[in-house]
Amino acid sequence: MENKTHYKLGYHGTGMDMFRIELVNFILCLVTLGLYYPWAKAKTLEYLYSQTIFEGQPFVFSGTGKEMFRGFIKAFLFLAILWAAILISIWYGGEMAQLTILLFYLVIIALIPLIIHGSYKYRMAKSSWRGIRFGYTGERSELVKIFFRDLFLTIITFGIYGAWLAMNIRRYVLDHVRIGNANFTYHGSGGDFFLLNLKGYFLSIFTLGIYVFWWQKDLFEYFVSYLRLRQGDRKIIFRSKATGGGFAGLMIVNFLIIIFTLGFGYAWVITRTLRYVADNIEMYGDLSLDELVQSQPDYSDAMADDMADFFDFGFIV
Amino acid sequence: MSEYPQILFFDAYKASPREVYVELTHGKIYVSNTDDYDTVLVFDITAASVVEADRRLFIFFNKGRAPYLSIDADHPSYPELKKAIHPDRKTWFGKFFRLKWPVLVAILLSIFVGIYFIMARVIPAAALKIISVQQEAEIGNSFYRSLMASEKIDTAATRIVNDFAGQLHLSDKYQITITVIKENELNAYALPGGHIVLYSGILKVIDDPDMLVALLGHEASHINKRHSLQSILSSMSMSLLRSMILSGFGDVGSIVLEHAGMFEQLRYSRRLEREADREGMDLMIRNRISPVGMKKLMLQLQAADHDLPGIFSFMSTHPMSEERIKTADAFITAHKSATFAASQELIESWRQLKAKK
Repeated sequence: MENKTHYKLGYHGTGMDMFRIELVNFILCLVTLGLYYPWAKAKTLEYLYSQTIFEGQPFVFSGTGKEMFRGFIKAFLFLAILWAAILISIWYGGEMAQLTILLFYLVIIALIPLIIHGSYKYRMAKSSWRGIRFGYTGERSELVKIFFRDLFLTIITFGIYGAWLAMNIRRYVLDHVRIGNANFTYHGSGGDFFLLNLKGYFLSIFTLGIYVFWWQKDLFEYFVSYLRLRQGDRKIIFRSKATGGGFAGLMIVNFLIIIFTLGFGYAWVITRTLRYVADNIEMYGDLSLDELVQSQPDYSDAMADDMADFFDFGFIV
Repeated sequence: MSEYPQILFFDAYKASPREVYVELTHGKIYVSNTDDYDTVLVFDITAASVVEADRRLFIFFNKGRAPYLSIDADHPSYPELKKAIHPDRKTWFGKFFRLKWPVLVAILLSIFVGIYFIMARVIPAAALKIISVQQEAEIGNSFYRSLMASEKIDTAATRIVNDFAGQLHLSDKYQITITVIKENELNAYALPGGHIVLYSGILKVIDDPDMLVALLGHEASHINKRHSLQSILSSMSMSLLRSMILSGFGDVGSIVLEHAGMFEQLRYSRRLEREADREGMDLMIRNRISPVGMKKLMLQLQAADHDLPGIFSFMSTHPMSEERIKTADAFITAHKSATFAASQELIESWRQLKAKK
């Protein structure tokens, strides 16, 4: 790469601003018995995106509380019907009850790839930068296929194949994330990921947990450093600058903040974490950002995104 | 792009910005390519929203948040545009958001106190009103059945103690039924709706009929005053509150609340014990039995039970025995002039009970 450009990423939000947003959200959720939740989520995401500045321009979240409320109701009804079905079949099922419970677990597991798919589809369509939308172009059936094939292999290898499962899903999802006419690629592999975790696990035990921070650094690095953004033959390369010591400082102080503020310092924990993450991703390459054009469609069904909240999935692959 | 403060326009078609000129008139923003104001686009500021980050102002023209303008903080139009488009001017959120944070914290705290009051006092009190005596007896019976499933009942003693209680007037509303369990434990309790359960251990340390009346009077008062129903309801509603808080606050908050709840519960049941002592002695007076029996019962229990040392006593559900004895003394002094006479039948039942052992 001759004309190597460095791209700048930073998080500029403050704990106090976020605290005020979360406080208002919390009060409104409390007085509406939780119905305000989708709007609260929209406010939080709007703020977090808008304070993340890439090359002088913010990321923009354009999802609305109304859309997410619709998704919230749909997800709620779906799960309520599922629960009702399982309860009725246990009640009247007699001998068949155990089979129904097994079936129920299968349905819940089968939901995982569908939730990942729908959640990415919504979240990406509602994310933009310089007015150019992100998009997720993965196929639902493809993700389901990968998920069940790898889940089967994970079960018969007593969990060892889990590392490959995680990487295959991550690779499939990230390979199908786009911004305008540029696309992300990821080339982490199950083998490397397995060894990384094996090393992290045993060294954490031998060092009485101290190595956990370095393990965390390795996981972060493994996510960032294998990520690319490509447009034709031009690309942006991502690199991690995070250190084990840096993660130790971040995580220990975050823990103390949560303990000593009885959880009220959550906003500062998020702020410190996002700042650390943004400051420790380095980006360079020859991709011209001016050449991005709008090419991803809009998509407003937030059901899967809300479903992810019911199951407490983070938005991470 | 120039180094000077500028206004950039992103058209939501290409990522490359255009440097533009902006004019704000009559609630509308006019965007033009050149400084002679050949307008290319007009936006209504009522539909616009604004974000401030990293010393720039970003003005979005619609709900989809594209296209938008980016204005440097040192651009001359910055203050005017910022003032024109105040964030979330009209919404509830906006109104709330502009309150100072100590005000917000105060609102939050008062909501908490309100919810706590409703859950700890209003809901249990309302439920107590709604549940009828008959429903209460049903609840008590189902507790009774499940508790007795694993106990050895002393049928002979049970019959005699019920005869004994039959000579007394213990309740206006409830049918009092007593069960004696064969177990050497210093314990007795009352269930909602009329069941009193005594352990044979406590009968052994009772050595005069007045003391037995005191014990039955105390337990019957728990029933008359619906104490166990009250504590069931309040602990149910407190655990509901705990799980509500748990989902909002995470682990640390819920642990703090759990301990607060436990102390509240203990304080509450100590108050109930004191009330049962007082009401029990009233019942004794009404049945023309000397309240001295209550004091004797307490002294006997205190001697028999290796009472918790004083330092732990505030953790106990029973108020400190010393304090209860003092209260009993005061009651006895106040009722010195009353006359007492146990009926022949009562004495006879008592003899049978003692003869049995």
